[in-house]
Amino acid sequence: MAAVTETESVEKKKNRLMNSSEEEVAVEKPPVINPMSEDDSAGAAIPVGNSLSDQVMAAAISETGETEESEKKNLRLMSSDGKEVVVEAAVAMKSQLIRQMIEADCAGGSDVINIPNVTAAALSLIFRYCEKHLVDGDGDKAITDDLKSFDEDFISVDLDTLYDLLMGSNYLDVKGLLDLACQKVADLIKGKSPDEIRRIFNIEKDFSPEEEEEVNKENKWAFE
Amino acid sequence: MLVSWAKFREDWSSSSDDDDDDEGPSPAKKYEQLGLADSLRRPYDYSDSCQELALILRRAYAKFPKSLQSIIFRDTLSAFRLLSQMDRFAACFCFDTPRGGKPNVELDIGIPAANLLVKAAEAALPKQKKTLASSKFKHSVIAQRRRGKVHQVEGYMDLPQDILLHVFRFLDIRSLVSASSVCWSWNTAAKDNMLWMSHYYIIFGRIDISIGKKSLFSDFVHDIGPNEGKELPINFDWRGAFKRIFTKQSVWRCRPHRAFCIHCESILWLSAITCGTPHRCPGNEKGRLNIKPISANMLRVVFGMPIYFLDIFLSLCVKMQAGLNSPRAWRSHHTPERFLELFPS
Repeated sequence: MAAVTETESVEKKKNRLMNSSEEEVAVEKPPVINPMSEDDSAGAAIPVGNSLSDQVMAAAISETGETEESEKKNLRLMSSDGKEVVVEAAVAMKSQLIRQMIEADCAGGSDVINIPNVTAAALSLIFRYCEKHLVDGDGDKAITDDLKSFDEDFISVDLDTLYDLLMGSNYLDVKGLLDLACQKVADLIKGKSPDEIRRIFNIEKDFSPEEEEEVNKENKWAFE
Repeated sequence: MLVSWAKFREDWSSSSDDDDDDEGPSPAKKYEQLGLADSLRRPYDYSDSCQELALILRRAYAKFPKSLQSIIFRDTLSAFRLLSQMDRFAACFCFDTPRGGKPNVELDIGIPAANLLVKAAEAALPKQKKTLASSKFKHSVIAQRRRGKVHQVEGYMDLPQDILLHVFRFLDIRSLVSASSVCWSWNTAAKDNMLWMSHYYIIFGRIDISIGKKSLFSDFVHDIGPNEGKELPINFDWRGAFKRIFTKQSVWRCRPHRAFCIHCESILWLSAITCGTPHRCPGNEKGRLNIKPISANMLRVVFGMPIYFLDIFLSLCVKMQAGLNSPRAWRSHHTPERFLELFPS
């Protein structure tokens, strides 16, 4: 029964981590949960080995809608700013990069996966998106509408965060989030003059006056 | 191909203003398909949406059933309400406290368009609604101006080429061309050949240059990824090809903001047609695209029509217009204007 209490406290800590994007992520050492020690609620006789990839695949196979006692393998990720982020395997697997790393079992000896290009804050935001989008909701209008309004709120952030989300989701290969962030940036560009675009994105105009005239002449056809 | 005008007119004059749903989609449904409630919320479509609403108010409102009238009134009020949120909107993100010493940006967005709308409202609406709309407009203008200048937020967006390309896939043509005037890296990305090839297909719906392999056509309706590039002839300038056809078609010169899909007979926003979000006909996702831009003149005519016939009329007009290459005699007899003469307003 000790295994159960450990699971619960890990769950609580994980929930706290998932909910805060600004706070420093606590460096936790979650116990390695051995699937064999749980009862059958984990989803029947899946023969599991003890390697990281096997444990993760076992957890990923089990349905996410199950009770708190069921198997949830956590992954530990080391962010670019040296903080460790703990996340549920099923959630992290939404990132194709992480999924491929797990499937190819290239975490090496340790349990910690290095994500050298993304900060901890960005990682937790990205995984918040992934967790919400675990449910697909094909055809179910209520779920798709709910996801849509979540997305709208989620992407209404300042430019710096948007940039982090863009770069992070590109690196981690989370398609839905990448498309969402790109659409948002595109909406900022649409219908604006080059001057206004430069103002919003703080971009230096690196054309010389002659080059600028050349470019404008080249583009006249779209605006006649 | 051409419907008998007499029959068409007979059908039109026999349709009454009741809310009878039996003969097809209700007027409210048809109006809903125009998507104005949503388009008003998009800053880049706000102006055009206000103009459309103004047209509808002036030319057709009086003939609509009461239920549709109240929906249109609701959208008009919504346009004014959105005006007061315009500056936050235009920059499209939430502001933190302003950082740094950048000069403030003055924005007076949407007021000219909303002005047009309020004048139409004053011309078309009954007294109470007119007063309400007027006062809502005035309050919104004051609210927007009182909010003051927009603070410049110091965002930093030095994006690598591959992400820029991904972002540009969600841009319509004009925005793509504007983007190429921003700086050199954006210029390179905005001129990407694959991007323009996609736009060529989405807008013109055909490849009239012999490329060779038929498989190219089926590839276009899916995501065009980098791997498809190997089938292209080297150095074929898609942007130049696009520009050639674009400049030849006079309809583009009047800056249309709407297009019509001939397959599914639906009215689309041109700003929404991008490589990342091309138009997919419901039920015909893999078919070849066939969309035509709608000129401002045609729009003006269309909004004077009974709303039941919006799409039928557009379909006929667009096909007529597309027949510009047909013999002179045909062209002079069958113009949208002549068609209109059959339906005195």
